[in-house]
Amino acid sequence: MPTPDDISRLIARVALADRPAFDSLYAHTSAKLFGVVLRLLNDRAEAEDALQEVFVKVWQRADRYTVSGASPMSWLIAIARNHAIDRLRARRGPAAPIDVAAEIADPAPSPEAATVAASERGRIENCLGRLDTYRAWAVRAAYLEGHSYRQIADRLDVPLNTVRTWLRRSLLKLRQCLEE
Amino acid sequence: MSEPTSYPGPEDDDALAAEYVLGVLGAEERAAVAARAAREAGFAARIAAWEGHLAGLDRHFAEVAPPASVKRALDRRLFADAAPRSGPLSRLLNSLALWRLGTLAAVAALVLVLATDLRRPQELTLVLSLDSADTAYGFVALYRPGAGGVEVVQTGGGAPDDGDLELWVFDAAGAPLSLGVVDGTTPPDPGALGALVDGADVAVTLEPPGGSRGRGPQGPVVATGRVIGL
Repeated sequence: MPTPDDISRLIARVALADRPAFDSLYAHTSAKLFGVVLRLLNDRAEAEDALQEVFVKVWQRADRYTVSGASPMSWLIAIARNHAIDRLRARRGPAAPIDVAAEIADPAPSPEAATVAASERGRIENCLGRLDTYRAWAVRAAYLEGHSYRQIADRLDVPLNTVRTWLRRSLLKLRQCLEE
Repeated sequence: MSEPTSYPGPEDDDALAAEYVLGVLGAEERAAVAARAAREAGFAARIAAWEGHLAGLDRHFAEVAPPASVKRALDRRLFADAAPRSGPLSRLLNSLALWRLGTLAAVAALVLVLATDLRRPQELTLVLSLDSADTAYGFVALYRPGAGGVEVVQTGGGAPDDGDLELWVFDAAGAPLSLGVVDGTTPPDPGALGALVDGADVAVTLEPPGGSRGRGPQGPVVATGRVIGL
């Protein structure tokens, strides 16, 4: 398993149009990025198409990746998420119904969650835990399932602007907690 | 969503960046935010910061191996017009702007350039040229022992619709050893690089995606040639 430094170096070489580096980057990261677009789009054929687009963007934008910024994986995942969410928002027709109760019940705290609680990765879980259950659900549902304000509002049966107001407040609270 | 995309205070900018990263905005607002991030470095930095804040959730995305067809389609899309690999050979051929002339002209130029390249006189270089009277396929390859694998540049024939092109060398006993698929995504057989000597026979065959499944080539030969030692 390559380290974040390895991935950074590969991205730097891809920025120089180094094709073997691109092949290697694909080999090491395509499964994670495919998992991202597949979960968000929930459609295998579209996810395959999206993954191709994502790596075209990686090839074209590698020169904009700066090592000083986020981890290379979160940079790559951001490209994948943004592309998948753009596709979701461009879809016509009503979005698939969502089941809040099931999704809230689903991610029960795993043994792993307890052990990583103090670590960097666990911090977001801690901070989400300080939010109201439905607000924490909305953050997860948006980030992991690609739910829009409209879907969240419909699901919680709350006016869209109300959802927007409390979610924005929740996000700022979340950031405060993460920066503590 | 039709709310305005510009908000007065820094808190509002930050909330907007967070909403964008979270993905809750509608199509128009997302496009407006992305356009603004492209113009304003400070706003782009807010978005990057939020990507970092929320990255802790990324571990909930499971890894799912994509089918091999995705990478093939991607390669066709990104590299169909370019030389298949970007190494010293393709750079040399591109700088000579000769590869479009076909295999023979490319090899002649390459042999001339390499044979008169006095910068590394001690280094043995092997050039492989392959073509066919029956197909449009042509390849030039370069191998410097001790300096990585074989670099192959396709000089004619384009990418196959289905499957991969695989490069073979025949050892002294006439047994074929794979040098990998020509786009360099599979490794050579053990001993294959050692079989690359002046005068050795080489061939390219059309194989299933990822190369021949068995020992030796299974698909049709599309080009043949010989190793030239310099």
